[in-house]
Parts: sequence; C-alpha cells; structure tokens
Amino acid sequence: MQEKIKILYIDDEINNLISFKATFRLNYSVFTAANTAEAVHCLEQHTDLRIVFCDQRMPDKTGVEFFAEIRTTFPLPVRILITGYTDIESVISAINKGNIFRYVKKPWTDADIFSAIEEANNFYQASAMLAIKNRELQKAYDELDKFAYSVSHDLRGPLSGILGAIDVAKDMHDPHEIRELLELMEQSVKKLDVYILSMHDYYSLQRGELKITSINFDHLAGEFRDIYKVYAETGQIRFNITVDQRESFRSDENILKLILNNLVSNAFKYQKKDNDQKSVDLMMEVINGTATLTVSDNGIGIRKTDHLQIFELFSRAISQEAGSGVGLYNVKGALLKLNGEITVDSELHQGTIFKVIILSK
Amino acid sequence: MNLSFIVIDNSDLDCYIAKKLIKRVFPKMQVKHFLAAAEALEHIGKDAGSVSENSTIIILDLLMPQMNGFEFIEAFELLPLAIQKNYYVVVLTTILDKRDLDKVLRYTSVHGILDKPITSEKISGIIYDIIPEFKNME
Repeated sequence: MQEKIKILYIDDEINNLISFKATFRLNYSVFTAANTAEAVHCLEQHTDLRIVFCDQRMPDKTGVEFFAEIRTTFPLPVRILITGYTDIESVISAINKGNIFRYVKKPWTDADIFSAIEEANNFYQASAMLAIKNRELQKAYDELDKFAYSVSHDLRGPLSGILGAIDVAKDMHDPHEIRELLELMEQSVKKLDVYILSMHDYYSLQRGELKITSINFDHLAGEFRDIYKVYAETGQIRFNITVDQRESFRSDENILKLILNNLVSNAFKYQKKDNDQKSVDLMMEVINGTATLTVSDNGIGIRKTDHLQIFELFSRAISQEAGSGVGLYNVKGALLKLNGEITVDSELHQGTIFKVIILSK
Repeated sequence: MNLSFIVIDNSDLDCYIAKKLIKRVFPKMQVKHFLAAAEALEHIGKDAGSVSENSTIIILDLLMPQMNGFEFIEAFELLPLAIQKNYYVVVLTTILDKRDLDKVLRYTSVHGILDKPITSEKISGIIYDIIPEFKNME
C-alpha cells in the first residue's frame, strides 16, 4: 500500500487544528503546529512533508510572512495559505511572488482541502521528478566530463608515444634496438586496444537490454580454462577453477562473463614478479538461488586506503601495469544491472579476493 | 656546470623515447628514468648532501596513477631548498588543458612545459630557455 501523504497544518486556534486533523487523518498523515516555531521544528523533523497549510492571521507573524521565510529553507513542501477575504491584497502579492502555491478561503469545506491537496501533490511529484531527473542528468554530465578528459589523455597518450617512437626509429640501424622499440610500441598498441574494448563494454552496459538465460557454470568454467590457458602457461600461474552448482541459475551470460573476465584478468595481471607460487583461484557456487563467485590471487594486493576508489571511473591504484581505469567500474555497472554485490578483501603484497553475489533472475 | 636528466613517466615507451631524444641532442648526457613519481622523489631526496655544481632537469608527466605530477611537485617543493635549487621541473602533457596549465605554471619549481609528442627540437629549445649558458658551453 502506498504511504500516506504527509501534511502540516499551522493555526493558532487549537480547535481548528483538532477539527482539521479529525477530518483528514484517515486519508493523510496530518501534523499540526500551534505556532511557526513548532512548524519549523516539524519541518526539520519530517523532511518528506509534502504540503504545508498555514493560517494567515497568527499572533507572531502572518502566514504570508512565514511562507516567505521557509521558501528558501524548506523549498520542497508545497505552500497553501488559508485566509479570509479581508487579506486578499497580501495574498495576491504573495502568490505572484511565488511564495504560495494557492490559497483556500475561510471557512474551508472538506472538498476545498481535498482538491487543494490533490493539486499540490501533483505539483510536488512533478517537481520532485524534475529534481531526480536533474540529478541523473548531472551524473551523466559529470561522467561525460570525466570521459572527454580521460579519453583524450588515454587515447592520445599511447598514440603520441607511438608517433614519437616512429620518429626515433627512423634514425635507428641496430636491429636489436629496433626490436626493443617495437616491443614497447606493441605494449602501447595493446593498451589502446584494451581501452577501446572496455569502452565498448561500458557502452553496451549502459544501453543494452538484459538477455536472461539459464547459466551452466561448468560450461563457463571450461570456457575460462581455455581462454586463460595461454596466460597461465606463459606467466607460470596456477589457475584453479571449482564449480558447485546444485540448481539451475538464470542470469545474463554476457554480463556474467564481463564481470568474471575483468576480475580474472586483473588477478592474472597483478601478480608479484618474483613469486614462484603464483596462483589464481576462481570459485563458483550456486545455492538457494544465489551465485557466489570468488576470484582470489596471491598477487601484489591493493592498499586498504584504495579499496573504495578502485571501482571509480578512471581510477588506477597500480602504477606498474597498464590499466584502463574502466574495468572495475564496468564490473560495478554490470552488477548494478544484475542487482548484484561485490566486496573486496585485499592486503598489499598479500593478494586480493573479490567476491561477487548475484541472485537468480 | 654539469647537466643531467630525470624522466618521470609511467609509460615505458614514453620514458624510452624521451631518453633517446635527449641523447640525440646531447649524446653524453646522463639520463635516469622512473616509472613511479614516488620513487623519483625518494631518489631526489637522497641527494641531500651533494653541494655539487650539478643541475638536473626533471621531465615530469602529469597524469600518472598513484602519485601524479601535481602531487610530485607539491612534495618536491617541501624538500630542502639546497636540493630544490639544483632541479628544474619541466612538465610533460598530452593535452593542453587550460585549467591544468594555469595550475602548473603557478608552481615556482616548474620552469617549462613540453607537449607530447616530444621531439629533439622541443627538448633543446626548452633547455636553452631554462639554462641559456648551456648553449655556449656545448
């Protein structure tokens, strides 16, 4: 059931407060205040108050004055004045200044109040939606800003490096020297490639629809074993996969793969160079409609102070390897789509464990 | 006067190129490189005792993970003045972002800006700008 709309009514005549509350408490959640100080206190306590009714004639200040005051401090609630005909001049000016949404004339009828609440609530919802949309827009805009800045650096950085290398290579005659340079250039080209692929992932995550199918984790394990075989052999890294799937599981296979690929490739990438027991473990477990995917390694680890930041766009905690700063951000975005969660447990120089929990769709 | 170089850039390729280009202009020049700014800072900090006539030009990339160029400059300017006076920081940038540029030029230790891709002409140009006497000595 929908929660009742919260309404505040301010009037110095206690009898009015009582009868107002008695009439409307069934339909709305009604708060009352006998003076403006009480009203302000109530507004502070209940930030989700939607509509404020206020009597015009009160001993300490008029309703118009009160509304003008709270307009900036509490901009969200819709303000409605209750008044007799005698104050009509000040009411008109208050409405024109935008301090008051509308007014209800005294003595009010139930129908007047109901219709005022309905109108005010529609107005509130429209402006609240606008605020939400604005926040979303601001977020998209911030992301775009980061994007433009980082794309120009991350694309142009390796490119200008390669350009510089070509310039240097023109004067080289020693084949060994040229070979060394070519290998460095290859790294830069690969970095560009990884970057562009992760951009593609980012885009398809933002725009793509979910394709839910039944997931066979044994099958997935086989695929990963094949993909990472070369990396395991050349890097002398032990890659161990265990699967314990006791029931069927439904999710988007491509997004699952994106998550696992990012985590597993990171585990392979961030190994300690001098370690002769390098290992990467992938555990996939499905019980009670929940998949728990754990990727652990005994690599270089992540400083505790960097744990929060690693999921941010374009953040890179490690300097020694080429990261795009998009991988884990995409993992976070992917989990948002699947309503999943990720936690990281890591100690510098000890290794890293990423744990992902996803519910079956 | 002796001149040497330190290149700080997290990209292997960029360090390699900078070294090659410097050597092309000044074949006998000593050039060190660091992939992490923190390591370079440690190296420079150890320089404490040397009251030598050595001057070092630091070619510094701005956007680096962990300690970035700005953080390096901030930390560098906290080093004893006796060390600082031997170094000239030249900032290396990919994109000439106006905001970054203004910020960078406010630091007293920053003596110049090089935009990528760097060339031997750009390197010799900036060195003669910073240390005009060097041209006569070569």
